[in-house]
Amino acid sequence: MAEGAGQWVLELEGVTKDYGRRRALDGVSTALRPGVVGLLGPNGAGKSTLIKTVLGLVRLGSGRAQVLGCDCQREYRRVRQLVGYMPEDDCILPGLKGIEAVAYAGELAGLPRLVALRRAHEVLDYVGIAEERYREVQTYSTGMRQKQKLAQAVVHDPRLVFLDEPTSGLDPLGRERMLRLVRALFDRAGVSVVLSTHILRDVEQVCDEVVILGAGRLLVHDTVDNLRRPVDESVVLSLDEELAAFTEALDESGVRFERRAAGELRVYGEPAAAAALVLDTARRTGAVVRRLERGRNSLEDIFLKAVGAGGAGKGAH
Amino acid sequence: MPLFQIGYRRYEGRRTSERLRWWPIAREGLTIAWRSKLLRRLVLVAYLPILYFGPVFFAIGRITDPSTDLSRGPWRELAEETLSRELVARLREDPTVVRTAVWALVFTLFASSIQLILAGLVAAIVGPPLISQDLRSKAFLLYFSRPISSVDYLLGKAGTLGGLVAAVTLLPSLVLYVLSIVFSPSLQTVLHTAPVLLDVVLSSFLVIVPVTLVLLVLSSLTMQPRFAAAAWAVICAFGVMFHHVIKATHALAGASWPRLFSLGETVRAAQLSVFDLAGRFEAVPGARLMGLPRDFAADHGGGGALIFLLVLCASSVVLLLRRIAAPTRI
Amino acid sequence: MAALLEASALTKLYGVVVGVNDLTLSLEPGVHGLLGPNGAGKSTLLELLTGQLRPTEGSIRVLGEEPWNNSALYFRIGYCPEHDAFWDFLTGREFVEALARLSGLSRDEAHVAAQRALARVGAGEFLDRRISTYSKGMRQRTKLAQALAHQPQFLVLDEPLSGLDPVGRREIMDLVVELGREGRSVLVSSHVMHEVEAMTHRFLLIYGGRVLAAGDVREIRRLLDQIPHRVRIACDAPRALARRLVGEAEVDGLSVDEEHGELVVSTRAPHALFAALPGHAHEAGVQVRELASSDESLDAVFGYLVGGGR
Repeated sequence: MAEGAGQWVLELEGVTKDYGRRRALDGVSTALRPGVVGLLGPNGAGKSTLIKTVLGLVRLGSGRAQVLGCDCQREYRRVRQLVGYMPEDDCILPGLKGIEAVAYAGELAGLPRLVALRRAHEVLDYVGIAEERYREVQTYSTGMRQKQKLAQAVVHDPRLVFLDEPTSGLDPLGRERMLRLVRALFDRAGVSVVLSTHILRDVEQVCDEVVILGAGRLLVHDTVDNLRRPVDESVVLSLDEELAAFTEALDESGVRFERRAAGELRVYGEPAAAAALVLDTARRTGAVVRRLERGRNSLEDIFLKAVGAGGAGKGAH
Repeated sequence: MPLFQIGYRRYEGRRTSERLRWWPIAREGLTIAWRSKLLRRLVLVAYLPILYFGPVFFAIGRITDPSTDLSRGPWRELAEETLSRELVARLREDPTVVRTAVWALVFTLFASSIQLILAGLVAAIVGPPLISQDLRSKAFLLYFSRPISSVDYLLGKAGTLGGLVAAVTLLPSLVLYVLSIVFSPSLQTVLHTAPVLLDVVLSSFLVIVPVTLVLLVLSSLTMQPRFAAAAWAVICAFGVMFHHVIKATHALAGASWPRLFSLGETVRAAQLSVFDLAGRFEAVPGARLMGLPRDFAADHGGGGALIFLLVLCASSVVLLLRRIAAPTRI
Repeated sequence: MAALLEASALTKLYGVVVGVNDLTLSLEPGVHGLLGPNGAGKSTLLELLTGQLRPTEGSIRVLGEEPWNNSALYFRIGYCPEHDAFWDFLTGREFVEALARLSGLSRDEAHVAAQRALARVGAGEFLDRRISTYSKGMRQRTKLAQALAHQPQFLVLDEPLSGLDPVGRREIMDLVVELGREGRSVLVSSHVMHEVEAMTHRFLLIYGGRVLAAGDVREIRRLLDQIPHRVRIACDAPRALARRLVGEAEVDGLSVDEEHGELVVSTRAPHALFAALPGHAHEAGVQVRELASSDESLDAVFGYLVGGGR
């Protein structure tokens, strides 16, 4: 490992890349700690250019990118050893069986043949492909292909993995499984993950931090918790049935609240106190509370705000 | 009893040398290509001429061995069929001197029997999908997110195709050479015929390298393997057509430039200049060549052919490197 | 009002492979979500109802007519397929116009219709560039425009949000709701449950080539109230609360996580539990911070129905 690796898994300093007259990345500077990070942005915001930069596939106009202390431009081989990539497209090598394809990917990354084969079996176990590994990859269903691609991305034991739309095409159960795998990659194996996706719920569920790009610029980089914490603290609740007595009682207590939809209320105030008040009122009035949660910003709102203000406008792509 | 952690493990072990990264690519390509029954049969066919030329070398072996009695067995007749009566006689008289020339002749005959055609066919089957398939399925991404360079990738792909073309050109020739040594009266023959071996290897490479590079270029220019195959078919058809045109038109027979239109003819001319039959036979006093060999004796502009091939290969390499390096692929 | 879609013992076999198996259903006009695991028969059903496939057995009627070989009906249906199938060399506008004309509109009508449809899907200034230069999002919008152009009565959308960024997703979800309000019927097939929920309450769940559930999410959920719900309670003293709750008949099981301050209660009568909870919490002196049933969402309903609780 290079010196000065410090605690940053990925460092970007003034990364700028132009394609002709179009500026794909504009002075992006930030650093990522180990963890699971969501990479968001409208189409054309520079996400794929960023990934290409890290993999050393494009020459930067200016700026520097480093993975664990290794420069992405000059030490691209070393970096590609440390980084894994799960592309969005099905990059199938036809004629190869699942196990062969994963072992091949390992060999290309420098694992000796026998080691590659052993590790391929291990990672296929990890992602949950059983007997199917002895079948040819083009016969796989979407879910299995996604798992296969994930296996190929981690077979050489990278420290940082880029996942591009890992849940695309998966049904809800498949999505759950994939998201659990992604989270476990970091929690259990210590592999940092950068998750690029358009499905914000996935990011809310699995990511610690979020990076939002827009028109080549870094718009947001913060933890999910911070972003979702609202300015005005509140709790949100759903009642089984609208009850006038309940709302009246709230009124009397003098707390500020608003009705969002049928049976849905937002009560402002410090969350613990507001929750206590709500439940107390429910007990006294006989209302049935089905759901009670801290009011949080949705990532979608944050995204729309960030992108609307700083990045691409509607209909650009 | 302790419980052990299964599942994802870290790997801290050794990594292979970066210079060898092309080998897995070549090997996997070969594995996939070898699954084709047609290909396996073609490769087998390449060894069939040995069934004829092997005995020819056996015959030559007997002829060059003063102690054998040539009146018995068909060997003398067999040799005279391939060489000529005078040549056989000269060979018997003076084996050491004539041997190299005869070896060169027989190997030329062997190589020009079907090797070029087989090479073309093998290339047509294996070549087109090599790069175009990767472009189409974006498997490119898989390769270049790994620590390999464009050169590694190209070497690997060239290794696949080159290896298979070698299997139908170089390898049969080498097998025949081993047989020729085995059939010779003494193993000392190796020393005398080493230059011929060199020529055999060189002339095989004159087929392997251009064919491989041209097919790789064609494959890298499109995303559909069938277009690359079609382009190769056109080149070959053109070549065959021109071959017949040259044969038919006596006026062009002497000129060397028309041959450049046919890749096959160019390669053949280059191979002939490598074997340098005319030169070799000049050293054998009194030996006249008859019929077929005359075709080989004339100078068909081998030098020009060699230069043409060199230029073709160099520009192919440049083109390939540019195609593979384009980052917009991804 | 005629039913939107009627299938009766509908079966489609590809050789021995089953697409749909003895499927019977009746959908009223409106916006519906089509859900189901991969390989369950959703694409087969969509191809059957857009007239691309012919039933092996049984019948299917869309807007009262059979779709096979029925060009008059095609005009009333708009189909946005999952996969791209473009003539790359055309521009977006030309493509939509061409398909509109194929649907029977005149040249002028097609031009206007294309303009309107492309504007509606938010095509922007890209519509006069060649499709081969389009990003995934732009291709998706073009496909949607093509489905909308001839103002069909019934829209069939297969994964309409795929390739779109969050902004685009929101726009198209709003568009679907709007189309529903205009009185058009829409069938949206998607894997992303929370997005389907944002567009409609009515869904159709296909599994193994058959209909597993159809109707309003809320109805289904009420029916599912019979099966164990998992209710997550975040509080400061989960064990104390658990001690009180274990005595209640409606509680089947408890799972205490003191590290995170959570209690997960398994119950067959969630309503009763919710009603009684404030009282229990008060008497145990426990402060409850959050309360949620993980089985409320469409995701959970799907998971339960498909995962094996049937």
